Amino acid sequence: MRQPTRRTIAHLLVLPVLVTAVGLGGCLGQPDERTVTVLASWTGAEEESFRRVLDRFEDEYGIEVDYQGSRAVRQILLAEVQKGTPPDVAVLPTLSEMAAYHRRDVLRPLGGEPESSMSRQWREWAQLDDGGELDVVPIKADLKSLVWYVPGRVPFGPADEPQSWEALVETSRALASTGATPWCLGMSATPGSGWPGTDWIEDILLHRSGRAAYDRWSSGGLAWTSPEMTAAWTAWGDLVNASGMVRGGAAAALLTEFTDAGRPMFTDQPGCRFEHQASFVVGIRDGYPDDDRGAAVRAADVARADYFPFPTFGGPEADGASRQGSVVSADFAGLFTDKTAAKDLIRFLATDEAQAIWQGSSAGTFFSVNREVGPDRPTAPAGDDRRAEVKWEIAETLTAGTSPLCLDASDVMPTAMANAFQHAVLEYLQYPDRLDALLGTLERLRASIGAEEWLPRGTCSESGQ
Amino acid sequence: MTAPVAGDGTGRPSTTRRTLLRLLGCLLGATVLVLASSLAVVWGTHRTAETVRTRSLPSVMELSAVRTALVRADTAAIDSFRTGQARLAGPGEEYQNQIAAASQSLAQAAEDIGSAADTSSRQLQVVEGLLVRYNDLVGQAYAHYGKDGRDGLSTAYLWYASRLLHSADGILAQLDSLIAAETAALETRLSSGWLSPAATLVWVLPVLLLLLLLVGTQVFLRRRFRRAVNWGLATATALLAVLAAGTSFALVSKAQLADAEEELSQVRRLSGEQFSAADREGMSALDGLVTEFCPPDRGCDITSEIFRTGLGSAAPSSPAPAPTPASDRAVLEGAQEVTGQAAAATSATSGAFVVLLLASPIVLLVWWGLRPRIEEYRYRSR
Repeated sequence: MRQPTRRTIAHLLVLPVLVTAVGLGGCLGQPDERTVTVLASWTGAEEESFRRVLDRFEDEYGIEVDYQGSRAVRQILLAEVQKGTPPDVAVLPTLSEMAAYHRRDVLRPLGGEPESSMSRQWREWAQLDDGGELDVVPIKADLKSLVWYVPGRVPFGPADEPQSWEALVETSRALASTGATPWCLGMSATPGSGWPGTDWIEDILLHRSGRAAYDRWSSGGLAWTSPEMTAAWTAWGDLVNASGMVRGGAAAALLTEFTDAGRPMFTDQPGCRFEHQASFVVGIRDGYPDDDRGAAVRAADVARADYFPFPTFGGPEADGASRQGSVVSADFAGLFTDKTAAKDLIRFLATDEAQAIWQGSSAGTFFSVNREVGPDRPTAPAGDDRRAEVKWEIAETLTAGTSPLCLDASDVMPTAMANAFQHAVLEYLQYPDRLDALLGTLERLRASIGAEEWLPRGTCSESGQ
Repeated sequence: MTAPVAGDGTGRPSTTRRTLLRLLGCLLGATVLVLASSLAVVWGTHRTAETVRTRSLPSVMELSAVRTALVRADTAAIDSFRTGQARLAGPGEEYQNQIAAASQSLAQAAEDIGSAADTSSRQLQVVEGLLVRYNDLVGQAYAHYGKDGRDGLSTAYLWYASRLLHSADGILAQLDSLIAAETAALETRLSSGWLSPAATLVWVLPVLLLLLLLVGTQVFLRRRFRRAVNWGLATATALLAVLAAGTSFALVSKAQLADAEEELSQVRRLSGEQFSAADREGMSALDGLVTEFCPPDRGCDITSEIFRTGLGSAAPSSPAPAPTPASDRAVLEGAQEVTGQAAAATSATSGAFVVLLLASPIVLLVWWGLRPRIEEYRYRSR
């Protein structure tokens, strides 16, 4: 055997040194590569819950996550993008803004499909162009189109809930005629007051004029002055502006915080009987019994609260199924840098594993878009505490694909249009006679916005996986 | 002087010369160490004092000013609507002035904080963004007031604006959190790094070592050469004392910065009193407006309750103690005192630099003091 020469030995000694040096250089030279910055709106308990997911990611991937939560997430993101220092990942509830960043090529490709049991309709919404790949990832969802009530405090039982808008209006009138105020309503919200009213208009349009009209409207194709829109606003105005229909009337509705609006449903003497609100209200209500402002809230009634889906005009069979469906909202995570670690994180957030951790740490107030993540169906009879059953039903509606879903139109409209919509709702509540002028103003704004600023396709999906 | 003679005449190197050379080496090494450590401490203290003077203290004062200006602006706007001035002047001149003052202070705070402090910098962006929204809401209140006098909608928009200011994650809460973060950063700066107690040892120990060596060498020379005083080393010792005194200016600077911080707490307390007074006044006025538009017995009890909870112990109807010119002057004087103390702290370290420069000839004096004795033993063996 040939003896190794001195040169060979030297090479063998130098090689590991070089490898180590290159490795160390790689680690020390790019420390940012192992840290991901995340910007989202969650603070307080919601932040704690989200951090549990981030903690798991840090443990599994050895990547540090620097999270910032703020209600002003949109303003911060805009400022940081303009400065040229965006966060690696940002989470926004408004798909329209994500689409705007995508058009300006600020949003970066995800670089691969996340492993997720997300249903087909959510996948479609997450594609902002015709490229066939996800551009953003929905990581948290809420179901709107819900009308809440406390059984025993309304003149019907769970089996005979109002099946049509007309029946709901009739029930409301019957309650009002006995001196019982039917509706809880609160428009005040920081920083965007008025959105609880826009949710009403969206639901009425969807359940009165159908998904096709909703699709056209949310993508800028239906005029605000159209008969469909006028009828939707009028239907809402006729309900909430009628005497005795809303607790405190328009004045109280304008000044009441949306988080407080439903409280009187649960006091000894109920101040109102129905609340039109999204699924996140379940988490808000959990805090009522411990909140000593105003009249005491009955914790047992909070647990008993139930809902029925927003009713269709003319009943469930009217016009086939074209008027059925639920409005939903979601938080979408987008990638703003090409950092590999950030891609890892955004794909991780979409996984069933991450979504399950989130759900487990949120006391059941988190709803996933992943089919395999929903809460287990309660096996015991519901009894008086309806919460587990209610959460399961909401999760089913969001993920089962058995009924059509429509994204909240305000979240997909151009921001200027959505803001004007909110202001118009507030003004209409105070001055119903200004409807024509308000719709005319909204229509002029719609006409002035370029077609490219609207989402290219409708926001309603058909049922099915 | 009796010159020492080599005992054995073999020409071995003199032990005295070796000792002298060792002493010279030790003295020169210790001198360099003293100069370097003193320079480092004075330089580090100076830089910290400069940062505290030009960034930390002003940022806290600016943010406190933003807080007070915003509450005064809110109160002025509500007052303008309550008294009907809004018909002619909108939210009013006082509102515009206070918003302008808040914006200027915010911009200055952003400059003070800089982009290095990432979290604070982001939080400032949040405040700036929310402030734009706040202005927009007050503008909406005025737009509706203009059309119909004071109506429900203008009151509602004032309410939304005020909520944005006062809510749990509103503008004031963000500012409070920023002030807390900047105050904590200031405290850390004043108690760590070159201003920590351990940093004093960095220059005191080398000074003591050099002093010991100088005195020891002096004693050695006196015994070995029977000279009363080596004037070179004696002058070096005197200069060392001057240098130690100069470097101790770092301690003076530290004490002055601590005084500035204490004065800052006082300014913040006074500013907080002004804030509370303006806040009580504004919230009482808004509560009056809201109650007029929507009384508690007509469904606005929750809304009204929020105000009362926010007011704390002060009843909404009680007259709010208005901030007097004297308290404004007190805040101003306090702020000037803070600035003065911080300037004195940086002046102290600047003076220390001069003293260090004057003391630097210690090296030459040590060399000058020992060299003749070493020369004497150049060719001797003992």
